[in-house]
Amino acid sequence: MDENFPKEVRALDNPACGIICDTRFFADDTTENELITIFSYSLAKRNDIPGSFRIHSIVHRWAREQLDSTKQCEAVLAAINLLADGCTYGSTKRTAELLGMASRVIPHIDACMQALKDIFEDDRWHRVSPKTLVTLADAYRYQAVIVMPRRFLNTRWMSRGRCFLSRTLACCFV
Amino acid sequence: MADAQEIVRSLEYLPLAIDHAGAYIAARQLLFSEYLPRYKGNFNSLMAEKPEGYSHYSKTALTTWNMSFEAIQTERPGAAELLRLCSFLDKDDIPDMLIHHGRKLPEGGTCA
Repeated sequence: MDENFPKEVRALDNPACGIICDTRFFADDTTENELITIFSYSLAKRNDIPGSFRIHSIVHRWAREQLDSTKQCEAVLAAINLLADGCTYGSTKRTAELLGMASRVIPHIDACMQALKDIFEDDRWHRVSPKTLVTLADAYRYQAVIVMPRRFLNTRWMSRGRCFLSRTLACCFV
Repeated sequence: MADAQEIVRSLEYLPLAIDHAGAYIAARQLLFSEYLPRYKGNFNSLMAEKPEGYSHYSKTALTTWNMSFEAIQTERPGAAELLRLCSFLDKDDIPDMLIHHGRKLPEGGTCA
């Protein structure tokens, strides 16, 4: 398998499961070039795990604090949107890729939830509709944590039996 | 070499600031001697704009960060937007694949 794949996904690519993943992350150059630009200014760095990156904690905080309240709100919603699309990406594709992504997406959902919590505890956000945002975030979290893995496990249960289910659950929740 | 030493001294030997300055110099293909006036100009304007607004952060590191961010914004606005978006995600392990497949701003901004 391509070395650019996250370690978790490669670990799940067990020939016994018959799982093969896509070999490219980027179908177009735009996002890739944007990331390259960010890396070139050292505002984010590649992780040891291929196919992922990290942001220095101070940069992470500054990038957020530079935004006014409305822009922060939009960015949180965009991040939630991104997670939802990322979670559901390739629902017709390979199980390993999806499970790997689901497990890695949870810290990001938590970060968004924390951002929402911070927003609601700040008086400047009184114009934002808390109910809408929380409902949205909860729905996506539910989808990521419960619905999506279950859907794929059920699919694989039907096609591959109990052994596959146990192995996949172990990989997913360890 | 003297210019490089002067830069490092001006940055108060802060690793994050030096890292950003080095990346900025490389990305913009500057000479060391060209960087320092830019840095000082940005530092002064940033402090004039918000003299006490960033007291909890290192002002030097904030200046280098700000220079880099503005450069990105000019060079590739989408990258600046992406960085802002990522600041609302967990900072440690952001999968490329997630960014690629999920990166869309909400239509018309849903900040109701």
